[in-house]
Amino acid sequence: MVTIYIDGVGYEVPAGTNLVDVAKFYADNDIPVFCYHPKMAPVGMCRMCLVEMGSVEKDKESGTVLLDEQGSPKIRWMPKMQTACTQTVYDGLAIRTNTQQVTEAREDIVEFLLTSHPLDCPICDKGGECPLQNLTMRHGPGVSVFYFEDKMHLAKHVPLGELIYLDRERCIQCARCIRFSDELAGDDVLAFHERGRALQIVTVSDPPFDSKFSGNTTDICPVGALTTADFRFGARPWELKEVPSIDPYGPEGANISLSTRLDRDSGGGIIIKRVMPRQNEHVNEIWISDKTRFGHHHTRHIDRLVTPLHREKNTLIETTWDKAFKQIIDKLKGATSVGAIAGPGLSNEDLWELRQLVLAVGGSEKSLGIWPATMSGGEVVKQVGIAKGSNFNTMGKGTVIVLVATDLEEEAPIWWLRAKAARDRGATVVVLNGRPTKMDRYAKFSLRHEYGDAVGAINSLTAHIVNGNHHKADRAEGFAELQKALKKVKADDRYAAAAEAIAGADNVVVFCGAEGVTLAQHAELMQACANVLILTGHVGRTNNGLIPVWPGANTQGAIDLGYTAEATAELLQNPPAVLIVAGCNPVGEDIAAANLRNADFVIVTSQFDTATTAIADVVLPQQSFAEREGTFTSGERRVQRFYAAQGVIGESFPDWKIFAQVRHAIDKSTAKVSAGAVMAEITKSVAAYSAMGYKNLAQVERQFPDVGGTDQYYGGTAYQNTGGIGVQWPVSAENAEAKLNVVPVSSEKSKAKGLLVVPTTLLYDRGMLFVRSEIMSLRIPPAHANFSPADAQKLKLQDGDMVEINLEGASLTVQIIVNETIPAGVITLPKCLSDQPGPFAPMVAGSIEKVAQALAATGD
Amino acid sequence: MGLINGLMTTIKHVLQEKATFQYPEVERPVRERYKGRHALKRYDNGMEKCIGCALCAAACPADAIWVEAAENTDDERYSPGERYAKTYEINMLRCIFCGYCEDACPTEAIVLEHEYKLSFTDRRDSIYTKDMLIDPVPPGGQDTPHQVEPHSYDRPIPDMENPK
Amino acid sequence: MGVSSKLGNLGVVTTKLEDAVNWGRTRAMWPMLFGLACCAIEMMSTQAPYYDASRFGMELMRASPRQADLMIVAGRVSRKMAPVLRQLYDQMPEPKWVLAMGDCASCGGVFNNYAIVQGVDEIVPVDVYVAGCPPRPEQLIHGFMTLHEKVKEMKWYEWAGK
Repeated sequence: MVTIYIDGVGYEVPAGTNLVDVAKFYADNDIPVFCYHPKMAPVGMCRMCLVEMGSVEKDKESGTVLLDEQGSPKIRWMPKMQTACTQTVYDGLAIRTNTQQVTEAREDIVEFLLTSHPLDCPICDKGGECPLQNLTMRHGPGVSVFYFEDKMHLAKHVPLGELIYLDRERCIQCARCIRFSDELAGDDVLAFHERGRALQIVTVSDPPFDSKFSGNTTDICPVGALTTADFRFGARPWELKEVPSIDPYGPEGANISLSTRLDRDSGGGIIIKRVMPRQNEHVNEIWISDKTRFGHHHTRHIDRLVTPLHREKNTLIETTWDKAFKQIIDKLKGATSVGAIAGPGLSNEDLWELRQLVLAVGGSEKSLGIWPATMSGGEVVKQVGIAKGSNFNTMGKGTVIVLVATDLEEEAPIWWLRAKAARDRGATVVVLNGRPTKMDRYAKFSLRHEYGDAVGAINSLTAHIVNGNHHKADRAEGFAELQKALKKVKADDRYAAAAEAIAGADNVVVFCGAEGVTLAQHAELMQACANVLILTGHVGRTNNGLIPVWPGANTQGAIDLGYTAEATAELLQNPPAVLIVAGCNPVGEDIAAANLRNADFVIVTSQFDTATTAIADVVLPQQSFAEREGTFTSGERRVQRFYAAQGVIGESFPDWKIFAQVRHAIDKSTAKVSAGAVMAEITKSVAAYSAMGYKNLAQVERQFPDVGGTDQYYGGTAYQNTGGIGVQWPVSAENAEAKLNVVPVSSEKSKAKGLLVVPTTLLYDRGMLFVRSEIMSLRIPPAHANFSPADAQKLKLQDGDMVEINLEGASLTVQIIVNETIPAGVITLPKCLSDQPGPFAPMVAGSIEKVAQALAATGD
Repeated sequence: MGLINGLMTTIKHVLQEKATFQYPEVERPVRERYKGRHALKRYDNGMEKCIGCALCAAACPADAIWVEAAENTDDERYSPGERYAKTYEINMLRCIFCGYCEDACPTEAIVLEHEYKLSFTDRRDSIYTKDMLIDPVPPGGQDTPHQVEPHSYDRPIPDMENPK
Repeated sequence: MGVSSKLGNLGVVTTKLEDAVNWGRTRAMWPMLFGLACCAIEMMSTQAPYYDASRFGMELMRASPRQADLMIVAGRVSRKMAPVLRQLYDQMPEPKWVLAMGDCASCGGVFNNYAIVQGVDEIVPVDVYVAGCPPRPEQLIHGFMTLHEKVKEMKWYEWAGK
């Protein structure tokens, strides 16, 4: 802590922090800024933050502060004003912000900015939450010496891609958008063009503004120069009611705020007008991906199911809830076997009630499956998951971030953003994957392994650590066997340096995905990652541990409540007599789910008609995340609450209510009346969730740096977090006494010959919810497969050809892309891009036949 | 004598001109600045003055105004600016005829006129939509939407005089 | 409804009777003295010589609900006043009408809060709503005219309901 003086008052503040942030947070002194943003490096371009600056005079020998006659410290002022945003605090720093000189400087800057800023406020989307508007009201001169007629007239409607529009007149050239894309998102897509008065923002990528974080630039824009196509002229900011919510797509649990308003077009109901980030420094800071921002349209899509359906004479027809319930209850009572597959968007409450229902009608934990069923290892997470209180903001030098079998930007963009920011602060990144991904650009160690040999790669790391005697076995249980097994492992030399870096690091975080890994292999992969962490002692301490890159928003919650991917695999193999599929579409996505047709009676809760509802006997309309309350558990095991935002569509119900009512009819248990009551029951029954009562989850704290809030200097009112920052549950490694299991894992590769089809995850896919956001349709690529040049040549295929790939009885028609980054012998096939189901686990391709020639235009 | 005095007063008033306004047969003209039912104005060419900024709704102390905006295109242009009011509704039973909307309007699109005959037998009838509020197209003008040449209107809001 | 639906149009006699009775009702509607707020000032003005409601047979503002036909709710009705208003309405003899005068009585007006009834139609059936804050006497008289039109449209089998 250091002492600084602001307007003559001393404050104790943390050393090395930025003066603007500190003054705002500790002294409640808002130094106005335009170009500065707390999340980005300062540039000092706009000069709005000019303050008088000086240093306290100290006695040279003793170092004590010299005092003047009044007893306040003597300060040596600099002759001219300085920019506060480029100043980090040091002991004895003094500033004055309330003198005439400072006031005049601020007035002049605002006046100057307004010389070429149009008077658009009445129609500007930012009007009402605009930093320029606010600062003009507070620091503006009121009158101008310039002529209004001399204002610049520039293009008003410049599309930067189909998502973001630029208004050249409004831009004040602060470069926040350019700096965000460049520095934080790592996408070199925006740039300044020309100079002086002609300076303008242009996009330099093809397709334009090709970034997965483009929407964030509209939030940080201090004027209305950047607006989203989604919200353009949608509503005035003061008319919007902000409802705290959680991202329904990714495992990061990004905090969002749903801006809702009545809307005449949709029949006078309350609808979501836009999605804004909500500040949570533990989770997503103030960023969200474009998928989260623009993917909300499914909540009020015209195709939403509005009534229950049941099968009569082989077609689904509308029915009433009473009849549907009766049918379900009759079937469940007499069922010989019951199973359930829970989708990625089900809240903890839904999962709990579904579990209770399945157990009540004779099912076991073995009949509770998750969807997508690609990842395993819940037990490993319980031991060595990332420790409670970890925060990427505090990671930097001394931290090693390891990415295993994952394309993090596509699978969990917020984690990617934060891991990259940590890397920019000095963290080392190690990437292990079968192909290069975007993170490889920032990685110190880019380690390629053969697809299917991810476990072997980690074993190599472990072997290097043990052979190099870098390990600490004091907490490891079963180390002897591991050591014995490791003797057989041939440690690959390429991994030596990375192993050393991991062993020598202060903190290690491992992201473990499942690219190119089968479900059985994944359990071993997670254990292998755990072995590395345990043997190097990187468990149980903050900023250490394992983060599984789960495929769904609440996969962690499902695993906590007893659901497993192994159970899903079993259910797909041998469908039970009565199957409940809640909020997912296995039949339409995965070729392995074709078997589900053999279940006698299928109950589906869904928001839309899918291939899975097509095989259902009863379809129940479920509510989207925006219509109800609930909780999601993020991949960092943070349980977070979301609140009801929009009006209920049709007769839909939340899943927990549906399952609770069915169970009530079967075993006469009391049906819970609210999601909070279900959570109260979970807190009593599940040990890890004992602190997860709704009251605890709604707790908020003051966050540093202070963005948003009441003064809106950083744009947008939605940054303010009023809904709760969530609660993490601790892993067993945090108990220093606990012994941790290290288990030898086999690194046997599959022996099958042929081209290996590796399913990969894309952020923008045709999943049943995301595809309803038509605004994103241009960003979703067509169904395609990536071939290596060697394989393409061998098969006489060229870029753009349509091929039919045959896989275990199923066949897929896709366009091919010849991609040098793909290793020979591998085809990467993004999941969920076509209407046909595709593979979810890597498998060997059968025959590949060309069905159509590439159009000449696509060849180059 | 008292009786005669009293009758004199009566007779005097009988002979005087009648004070009563014979409403509804005779309508007394209201003052020039009287604030009655609103009207949405048009330019001479028939384009709407309203730009859908919803500042009237923000200024309204009774929450009587509802505006939903949309973007003009050159093929379908309602107002000279970028934005126009897709939905514009005023609930006459909520409105207190204070005229704040008039003050707030940046384009002088909304004006409180002299019409005051506003009684309803159903509350729903009191919601006046854009069609009911907007002035008829002036002679020589054309009803909206207009189809215009690209870039003939490129100002976000119609040019105004310098703020004074 | 019974008789007319069974017998159909009863012809000259009932039609004339309907018109005569309805006309009679419109010519002598005694309003109840129920001024609650600012609107009451305009209601008084309506009674005063400039507007002279006695032209419509409404000169008598009755303080007793037993002698009144038309309840002019002139002003905002607080939640505490609501039961009183209802009781007075119940004490009025049939046929009876309610006119919500001004924004507050019609829908709460600017007083969108917990203390004010958001429209007296929450507690009594309202026949005519008059906009204005407060409505000028002409507007109130226009409200009377609207009510008269409504009464003239009444059928004899609705009389009992009123």
